[in-house]
Amino acid sequence: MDSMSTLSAGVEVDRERPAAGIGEEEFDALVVNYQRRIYRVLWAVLRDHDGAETLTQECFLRAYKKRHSYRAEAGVYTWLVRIALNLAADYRRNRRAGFWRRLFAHAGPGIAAGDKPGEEIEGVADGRTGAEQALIASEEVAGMWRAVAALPPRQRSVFVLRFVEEMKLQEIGQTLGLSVASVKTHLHRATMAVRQHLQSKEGCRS
Amino acid sequence: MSPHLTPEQIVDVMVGSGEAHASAHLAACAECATRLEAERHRLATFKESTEIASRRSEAYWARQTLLLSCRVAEMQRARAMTSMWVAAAAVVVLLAAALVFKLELTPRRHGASPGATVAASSNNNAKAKPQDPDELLLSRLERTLDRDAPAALAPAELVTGELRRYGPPHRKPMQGAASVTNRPKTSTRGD
Repeated sequence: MDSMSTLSAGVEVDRERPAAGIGEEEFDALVVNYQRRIYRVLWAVLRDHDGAETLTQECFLRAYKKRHSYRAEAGVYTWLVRIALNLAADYRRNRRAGFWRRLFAHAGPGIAAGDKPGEEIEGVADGRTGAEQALIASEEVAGMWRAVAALPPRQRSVFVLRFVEEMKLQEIGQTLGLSVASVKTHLHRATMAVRQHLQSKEGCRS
Repeated sequence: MSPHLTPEQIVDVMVGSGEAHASAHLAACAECATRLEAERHRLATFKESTEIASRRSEAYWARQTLLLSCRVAEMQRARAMTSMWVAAAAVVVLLAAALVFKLELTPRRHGASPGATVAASSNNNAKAKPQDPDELLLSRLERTLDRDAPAALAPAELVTGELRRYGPPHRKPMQGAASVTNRPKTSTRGD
């Protein structure tokens, strides 16, 4: 099983094949398995539910288009995150012009009531415990999100991939096209910046 | 100098690039270990909050999967349509090419005889300078008849044939000229 990357139960991609590609059936499994994680990464990087949702769809569409050229050198998840972060970078660039919103306005059925982004982050969604709501609303977490949002895009991506997705430094390097040393540098700067941001807020309160 | 680790050193340890001396210090110093643990707890809380905030219902993901399937199917349809149009365009181009090729070949088939080659070259001249083809043929015939060399007689015979075929019927002198053409032919043979 070492050489195999399991996409879902019974559907596997052989990582040792040099030009593996991904078949139709494997792709369906890939969507089911990874769409939540890709959405989470995009949301953490963008802090925008609409954007994260749209880009998750777009990420898998791109992956579908490029599925035959997928090389199994890196993991499937690393490959998907790379696509997602490239899309996020484009999205950030074009957000002011509203380019993506217009482009995907015809993307399909809208979001049903109860799934509207923003509701959940405010803790309004059903099924959420009081503890979870308290966690999201806690001052420290909110301050940390603000600090992460203030980071430069690359540092933010590195920070999210390391501390939210718990990816290894080497995987982050593969995803972002950086050396491990460079990843460490970005991560160090990002963590220091977040720490200082939180300390300055604490200093203001006291 | 402070005996404890600096914030940078703590972060280094968190990032995974801490020095051996920092690790040794953390093992021995409870205060620094507590500071490191607090930082890690803060990051763990951040991770947890991100997971919670980005959580969606199963129905939501089922809808997203369905939507994605629809878009993939749409993309496949569009790709199939594109392929069909490309194939149709290729067929049209091939047909057009075949038609042009056929049209180009048609005059060559009619002019398979050597006389037709002469006519074709006359046509080329006519393209450069518009001229009556009959007059052109006549002038070429006269030039041919004026020649004394025996080798020139063979084309003259061909031109006569052409004149018979294409020339106006009322031009009697031309037919006479054709008979004249034969005369020197016999004389050159030394009869």
